[in-house]
Amino acid sequence: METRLNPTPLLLVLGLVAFGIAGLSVFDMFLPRPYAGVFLQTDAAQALVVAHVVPGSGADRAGIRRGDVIAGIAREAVRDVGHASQVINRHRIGDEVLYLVRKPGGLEETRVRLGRRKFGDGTYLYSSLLGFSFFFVGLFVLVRQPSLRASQVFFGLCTLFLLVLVCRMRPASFSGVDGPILGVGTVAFLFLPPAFLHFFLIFPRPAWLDAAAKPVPWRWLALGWRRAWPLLYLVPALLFLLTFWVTAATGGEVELVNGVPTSHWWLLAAYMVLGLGGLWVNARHLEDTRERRGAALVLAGSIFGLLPFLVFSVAFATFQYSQGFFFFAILPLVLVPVTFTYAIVRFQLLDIRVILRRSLLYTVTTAFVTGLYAGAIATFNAVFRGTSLATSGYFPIILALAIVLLFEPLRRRLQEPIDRFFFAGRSRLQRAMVELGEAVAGQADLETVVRELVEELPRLLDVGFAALYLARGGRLQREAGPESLPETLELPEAVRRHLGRHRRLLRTDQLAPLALSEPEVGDFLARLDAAGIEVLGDLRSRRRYLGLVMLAAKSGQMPLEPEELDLLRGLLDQAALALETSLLVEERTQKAELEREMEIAATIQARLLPDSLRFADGWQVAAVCRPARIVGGDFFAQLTSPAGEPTAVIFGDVSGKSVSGALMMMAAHEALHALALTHPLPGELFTLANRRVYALGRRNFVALGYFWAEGERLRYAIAGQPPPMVRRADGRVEELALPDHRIPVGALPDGRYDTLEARISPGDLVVGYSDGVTDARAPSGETFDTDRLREVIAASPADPDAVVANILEAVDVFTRGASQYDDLTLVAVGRSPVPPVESPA
Amino acid sequence: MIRRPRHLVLLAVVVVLAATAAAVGAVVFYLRGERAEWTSSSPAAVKELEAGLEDFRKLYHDDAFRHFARAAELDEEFAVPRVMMASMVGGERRERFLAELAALDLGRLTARERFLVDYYRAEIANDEAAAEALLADYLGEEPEDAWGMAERCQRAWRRQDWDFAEPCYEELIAAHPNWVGAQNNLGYIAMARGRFSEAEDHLRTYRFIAPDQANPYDSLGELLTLLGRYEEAEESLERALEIKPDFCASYVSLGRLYFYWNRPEDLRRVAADLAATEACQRYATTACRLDAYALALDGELDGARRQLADECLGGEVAIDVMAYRLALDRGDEELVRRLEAAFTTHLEKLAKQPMDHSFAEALRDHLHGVRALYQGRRREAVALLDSADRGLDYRGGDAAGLKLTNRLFLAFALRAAGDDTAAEAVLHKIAAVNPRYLESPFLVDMAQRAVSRGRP
Repeated sequence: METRLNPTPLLLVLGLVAFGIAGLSVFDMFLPRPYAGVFLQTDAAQALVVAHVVPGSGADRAGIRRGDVIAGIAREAVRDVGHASQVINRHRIGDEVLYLVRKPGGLEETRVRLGRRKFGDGTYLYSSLLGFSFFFVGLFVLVRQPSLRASQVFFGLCTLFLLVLVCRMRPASFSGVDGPILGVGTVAFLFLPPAFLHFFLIFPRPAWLDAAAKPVPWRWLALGWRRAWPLLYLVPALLFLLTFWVTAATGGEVELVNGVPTSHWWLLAAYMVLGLGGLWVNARHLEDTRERRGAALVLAGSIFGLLPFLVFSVAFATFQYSQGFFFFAILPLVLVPVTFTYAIVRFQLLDIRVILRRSLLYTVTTAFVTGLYAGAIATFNAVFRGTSLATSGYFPIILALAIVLLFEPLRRRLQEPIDRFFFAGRSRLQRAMVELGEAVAGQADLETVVRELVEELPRLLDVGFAALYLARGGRLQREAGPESLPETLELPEAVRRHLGRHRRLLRTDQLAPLALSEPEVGDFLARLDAAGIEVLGDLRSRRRYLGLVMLAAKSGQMPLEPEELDLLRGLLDQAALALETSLLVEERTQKAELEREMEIAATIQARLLPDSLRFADGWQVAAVCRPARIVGGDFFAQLTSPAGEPTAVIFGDVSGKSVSGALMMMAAHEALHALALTHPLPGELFTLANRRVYALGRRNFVALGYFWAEGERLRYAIAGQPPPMVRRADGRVEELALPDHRIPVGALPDGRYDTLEARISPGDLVVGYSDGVTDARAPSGETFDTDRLREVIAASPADPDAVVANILEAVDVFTRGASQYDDLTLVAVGRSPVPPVESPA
Repeated sequence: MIRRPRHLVLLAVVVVLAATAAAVGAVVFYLRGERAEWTSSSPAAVKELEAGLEDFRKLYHDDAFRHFARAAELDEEFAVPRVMMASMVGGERRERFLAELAALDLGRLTARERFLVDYYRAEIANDEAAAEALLADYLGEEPEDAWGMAERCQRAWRRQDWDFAEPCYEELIAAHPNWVGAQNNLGYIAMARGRFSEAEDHLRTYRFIAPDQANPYDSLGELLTLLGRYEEAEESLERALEIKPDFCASYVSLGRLYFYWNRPEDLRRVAADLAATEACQRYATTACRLDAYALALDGELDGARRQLADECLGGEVAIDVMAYRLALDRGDEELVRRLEAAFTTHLEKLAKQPMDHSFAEALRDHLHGVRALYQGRRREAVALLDSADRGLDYRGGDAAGLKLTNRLFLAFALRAAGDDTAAEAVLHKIAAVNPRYLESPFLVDMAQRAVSRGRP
């Protein structure tokens, strides 16, 4: 794979070096060195020609004028600026030094008192400020978009402007660093034209490189440039050398303007015109309106900034042989960085968004108003100086009052339009967020809340899409969002904790460090990355975790700003409340529906239980079924023959509770009824029922008990139910014998069930029960158990109704109102006691 | 695998390169700074040598010699002062210095010392080829060395090869602008070539650099005399003598000024001062001639001729154009023959020397032209004087005014030949250089008499 070198670090290093050299140039101007007050022409190759004399300086007082040539200083003939600086620096500030000056009338000796070094003239001061402005704008762009080629070239261009404006335009000032600094400026000047052309061909993005875009004129030329750019970078240097070589060969003298031959200036003009043409083409073919407007603004600024530069620096210098208009050449250059900065702030050129802090603008405005007042006071003092008004004692009081009364209103009047100007976009977003938050907060409908969020957020934040996952059943389910996103998500615990701890939306790259310790986080982030997700944040209320919001990247290459994420966090907090409410409403509704259904089911189940039971003659029967929930799994039933004659009483306990238990109970109930019509014997009945129930599913089974009587014999079968108890007439309680095989019906594919018989005397009572009786729990956790059941049965009369009632009462007393643990079923049968024989007497 | 950020690598590379460059620079700077210029164990001797060289550059040869002698005394192993002294004297003293030099260990000399010793030894031995080769070799290795560059220019100066000397000196002052000898000689070359403003700049620069020296004032005085700025010239020359009362050349210059200025008394006084100055004994003949010129200015032409013939030009006759014209004017054929014979001998000597002979030939044409004019051969006189005008220049010394005097005679010859227009043009040329030259009655009368005497 081809590895492309990222030039940004190198550019930054070179930029810092350039900044250091430019800083040295300016710093050197402030050093307290002896100084005559003379600035020399930088283009005079062999002579120290005076370009400017600082008014009031020693040179000025000594009569040195512009155009004079300094031939000697302090008894030394000087050959160049460096030599002159050495000679001057041997003296002190205040020394009087003899100068040899060539004037139109010949050489003259004049005494010059050396003063303190003063900063260069106004042109250089302006030039330096302009150069540093270029540099800082370029640095800002590179730092914000380090990988963008246009920002890299722009930084290079701004650095070259810095060196040209600060180093090349430096007035030679008798300093040892003059030579190297001017040399650096000259070298920078050689690379300025190609860098200019390069930048404007690719700024803000090269229209001709986009094959899908509209056709661009001279596309072949622009594409050719991509291959030939090293040559274009070399052309100025080659022309520079060629100019000197040809001039030397022909015995002429190179005509220099600010350190470079006029030929180079013309080349610069040609490159600039080409560059502006490239920018014009780019600006016209950009798809994005905002970008197009920004590029057009930069184009206008560049034309108005560079045209005077070319006219005064190139045309005037060449045809009028005058560099006297140089200040007017560089004056409008400020339009270039200013319009560029404005275009970034206003139109986010190069996808750079500038967040201006209100506090900063407030400070600037306050400083401005303070300066305004200071200026007003100074003006007032100057105007009324010497008048009685100025000397009056009331004057400062009136002034102070005026300031107190006017300061804040004026500041506010200035602040408001500034805020409106700079924060219009942010205010709109904030307002929209608030409106969306209010709209969402008023909703209790989950679908509406989700739709509002997922549909509105992309529009407000200019992101590709939004998605919402809600926590359901321990997983995150996609509630809304593109189909390309997974239906469900397993949110790694580390990510959940991280999001919960930070309580804000995070970009996926901010979560990347978690992947170092948690590999599953890496997989998770890779999935998000593949889906185009850039930002995610959790939704949680105080009570529960609700889900996750995900946002795609913004259009263009801009990341979501922290302030946007903060606004979004506030909105999501509101949305979380709304979501929780709507989820609760949804759950409550579902629960109510379920309860209603359960009631219906309970009613149906209750109707399945016979109102009354019939048993064999001479026998009494009583039964009760109390489900633990609304619907239960226990039942008892009256089996009948096809003729409708009762044939048995059965009681059952199905596996499962609630709805599933009820359904199972109904299935078993109907199966037993149906089978009992043709197979009244319990063994056979249970065997066939076993097959039916087993076919419903492996885990479904029914514990059954079967009672019927013939004469004094009780015929019974037990499949999974506890052993019935017999209370003999004498009060003894014993268990009925159990069959060898008593597995619940449906537990195994093949079951064999035996029919047993027991002799039941008059006054005896048989109690069959489900394990819900013995498993009933007291609040302490203790179970009712068979011993208590035995005691209750023993203490009860030989009446089935009474024993059932007693057992229920005893269970209720034992559980003391605690919710019932399991369904509870009791069936009691007994032979009626023999009526007492009345004595004949 | 942890990836090291690339920009850190780049930054490290830049830092390492910068540190290496700084270290190399420091070492080079240290080594260059440590290199000794003069091989001597005595700092005092080195100080004396440097003072002597400085005086040598200022043309204060006596002072320079004293410093060299002191340096040699302080360090018996010091070679350079000895070779410098040998180059400044002759006879036995030179031999003694050369013998001392030969006894020294010359193997440990620096490159510059080696050059100076070898070069001056070749010069002393009149081995021009060896001197040229040594100079070329040395400048090949040290092209910016001031002494080497100055010697190369000086050789051209001595050959009167202005075409070579002028750019050579310009190159020297571009590298060493305070090399005063170069400023002086450039001033004279510019003066010789009629670029008087440029000459004045050089000489004023020279004066600016060395205001404590007499020579720049003297050189400037010569130039100002040529240009007819007599008051400035007088001030400058008197300043030279004020700085160095035994600066003999300035007496001569001052005498020349008073001659052109037509101030015989001052000229006589200067001649007396020159004769009375002990250090100027070798100028005794010159003092005598100046005194004779004063007589001539007073109108005592015969007295002046006699003094010149009998007192001033006795023994080895000097080339004296003024005396030659006086001899012709007064009809002293004997003196004319003596002076022509002396001039012929001088030309024969010059012919053997590797130098430009055009000036000498022009001088010869002038002498013959003046004689032709006195003898009534006006056409021939015009041709010879015109030829002399083309060959003469405004070089310093007596020659400075010769071109103007030649033009004066040319103008009168033209006029006598009937070409008044050409004569006026020549007179305008004279006035353009020195507007006060034609105010000198002595020279104008002499030219007039030459035409009158030579009337065919």
